[in-house]
Amino acid sequence: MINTEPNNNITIVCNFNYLSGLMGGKEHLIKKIMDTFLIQVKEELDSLNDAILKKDYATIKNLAHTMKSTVSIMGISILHPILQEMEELGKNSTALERIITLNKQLNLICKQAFEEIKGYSFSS
Amino acid sequence: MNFFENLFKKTAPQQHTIFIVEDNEAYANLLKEFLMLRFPEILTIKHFVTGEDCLKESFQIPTVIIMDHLLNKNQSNAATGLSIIKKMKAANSKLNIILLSAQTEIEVVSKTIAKYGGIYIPKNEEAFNKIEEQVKQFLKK
Repeated sequence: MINTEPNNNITIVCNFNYLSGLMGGKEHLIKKIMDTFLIQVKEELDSLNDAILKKDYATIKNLAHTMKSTVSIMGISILHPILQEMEELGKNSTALERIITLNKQLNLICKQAFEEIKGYSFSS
Repeated sequence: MNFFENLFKKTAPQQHTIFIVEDNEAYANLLKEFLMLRFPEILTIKHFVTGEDCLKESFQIPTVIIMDHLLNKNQSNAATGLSIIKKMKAANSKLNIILLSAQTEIEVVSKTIAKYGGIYIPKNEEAFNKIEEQVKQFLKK
């Protein structure tokens, strides 16, 4: 069973029920996937920030596309429309300012998600 | 077929293998663990980051290949899942293949994969349930 109680009255962005269901509630498997997720998303955010600085639209598009699958693992549905828009803008090689705004939202939400994942606990 | 070959065929359980072709490591790990939980009878699950790597080993004839469509996260010039499937099916039309994609405009790809006898599953919340159902079908064959 997963503890999904709100933390400091901040809106929860992760929904761990999906992951827990797929992993049959097995703690060691959930932890393993979470560890991979934390490392991978940090790398993806770094790469995305770098691509935005370089105005590398193709990489922005590819990373936004990949991250849609990555964040779905933790049920972070709030990020789907943000990443979808970033992917489309990257594909069209346009609206860098809008991409920067979306990227700020992405980074903030991911930061919150990291806190939720690190604070994740199993009830006995 | 001689006596021993016939005996072996009758008594040895079929050793199932699954290939996962996915450039998203977290997603691939999740899928691998999921399949191992649901199908303990599967002997081996191999993960490839590109379709080209999988193509080199497709002679092993896995029970099913589960392939992402866009595989260019790490290698910008990596072939798409669909183009790899076309090559695999040309070499062995009996291969069981599932194509995954998180793309929203996928109609052309889904029609093409059907033409090649593959199965298209969108990467959404239902994806793993649909994969499980398809793998069950392939294991029954």
